[in-house]
Amino acid sequence: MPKANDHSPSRRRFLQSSLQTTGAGAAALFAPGVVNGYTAQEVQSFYVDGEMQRNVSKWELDTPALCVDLDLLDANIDTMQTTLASNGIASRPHAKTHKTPIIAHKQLDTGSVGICAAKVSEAEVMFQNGINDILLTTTNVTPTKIRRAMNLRQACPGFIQTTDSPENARLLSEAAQALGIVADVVVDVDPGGNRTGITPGQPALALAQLVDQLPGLTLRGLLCYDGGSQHVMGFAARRDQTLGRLVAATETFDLFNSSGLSTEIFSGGGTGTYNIDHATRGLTDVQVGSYVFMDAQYIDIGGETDNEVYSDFAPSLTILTTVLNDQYAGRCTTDAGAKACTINQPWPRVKGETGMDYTSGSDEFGTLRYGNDASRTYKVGDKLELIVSHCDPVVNLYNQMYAIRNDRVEAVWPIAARGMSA
Amino acid sequence: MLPQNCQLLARYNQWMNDKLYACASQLSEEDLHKDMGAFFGSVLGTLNHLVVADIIWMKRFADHPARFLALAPLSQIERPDRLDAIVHNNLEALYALRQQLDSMILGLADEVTGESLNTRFAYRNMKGDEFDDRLMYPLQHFFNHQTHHRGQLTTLLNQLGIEVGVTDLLMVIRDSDLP
Repeated sequence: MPKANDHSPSRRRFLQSSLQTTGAGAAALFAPGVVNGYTAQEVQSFYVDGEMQRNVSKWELDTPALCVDLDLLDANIDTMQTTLASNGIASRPHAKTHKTPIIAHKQLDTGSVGICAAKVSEAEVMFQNGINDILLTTTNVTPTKIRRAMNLRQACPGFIQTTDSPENARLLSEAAQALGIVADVVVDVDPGGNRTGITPGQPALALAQLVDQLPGLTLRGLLCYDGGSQHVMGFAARRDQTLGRLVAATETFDLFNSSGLSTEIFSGGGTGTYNIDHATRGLTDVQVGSYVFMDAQYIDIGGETDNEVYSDFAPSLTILTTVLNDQYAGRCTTDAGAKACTINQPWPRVKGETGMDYTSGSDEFGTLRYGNDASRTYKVGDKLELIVSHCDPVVNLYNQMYAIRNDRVEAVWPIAARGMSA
Repeated sequence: MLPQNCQLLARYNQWMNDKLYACASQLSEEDLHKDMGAFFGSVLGTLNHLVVADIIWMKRFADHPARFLALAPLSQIERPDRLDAIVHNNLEALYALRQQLDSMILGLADEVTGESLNTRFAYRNMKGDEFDDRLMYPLQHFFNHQTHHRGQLTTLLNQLGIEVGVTDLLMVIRDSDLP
């Protein structure tokens, strides 16, 4: 039975001619009788009170469009929750990846203990969309951001902030006292990347003791996110580096405990190490982000069972793009360039196809070059789907995400924290 | 009601309150507390009622699903249990609270959007009856209620020999850089 991602000279014509009349196997796959094509505003207007008032196929969306496959998204969330539960740790997924409150609610509804946010503005949007447990993983250093974070804490009892220096802890204490509140704080411990956090061991302990003593603050534990280990190629190498680098954090955890300090939270780890981190003694939860969507960067790192392809999670996030020019041999040009895909590498990949390379280095145009073994070619007006290079910055380029099931638009999700980089 | 209308009325509220407290500060203690037969008796009683009603309404707005961050400091302000409650019996303390509320109202006006103004929220009145309204309507009542009692205050002050001066909303419209 043909599926929409089977290769055909013209996908739209194929859908029109065959799927409407085929049997039970294709019934789940929605295809319109006439391909209309709708603007983003039109599709938005069809989505009323959480229901699409009209059948719209993914292939009718104006492009470039950001799509998420609901079955794959739900499967990814389920895989994560099931694996972590059996390993005895929790997830505190990072909302910086999806910036979409509806996805955060899905994560919390399936057992996550809270969400993480990268920026205070992102945390505000999550709170204002009904999320109550938010860990801000970036230390605020300016008076503006510290004031914003304290104001958020005043409204949101489940909001936890991060600090990584004694000077900063004192600023947080002053700001909390000015508002007459007690703010929850975790100490950010550097896993060795020297990017953020305080040196593990005695410096981290001294900071935790200071936070514990300062008025207006309450210590909740520590975090140690090892960004540098997430994309190490090959499972064994990744496991060795991760567990090696987290030893200092565990020793810090022990120091906190023996000094009578709170270690209620010991958070770290990500999508690349979700099935490794639990071996770190004391770790309570992982700040996984990309697993909901996946991307070319993560696919390439290899997994525990397949050393070539990281297949624990399926690529649910795609960019739909239209071919604009097919006049030149060996290539075609699309409408998804850097402004739709970013210039992160490895480059985006055409979903379901082989023997072709996509590049998005040019602002407005994507370039697809066919190899001798290309699985198909495209004509002007054809649409194709790209697996994104790196999901986080791609999501930040779009106002809305189309939630797709069996090729049918099931919902239009606002990416409410899009652009919240402050 | 548009977000701009809220911003205008929030500015007007602050401008008028500053003006009225400046006028009230010229009164003797006796005149300030003197029962003038207004609905809430004296100048101070009326000023207290405005603070009371505003706190009660703002605490309801704080429970709106949009979760207005500007209203977060309300968690530290007690909800009065009567409309004629005297929150502060001296003008200075009352003015400090008034200024805090007015700055929250400005923050709220900056935070509301077309969507949140149009979104319903549930609240209870003083009797405990439940209501469910689009935010814009109670918000309009909130600003209108302020103006109603400020009108009484300008009369009371006038009777006590203090001239309040111009009170037109137009003054704020002409004087502002509203979007």
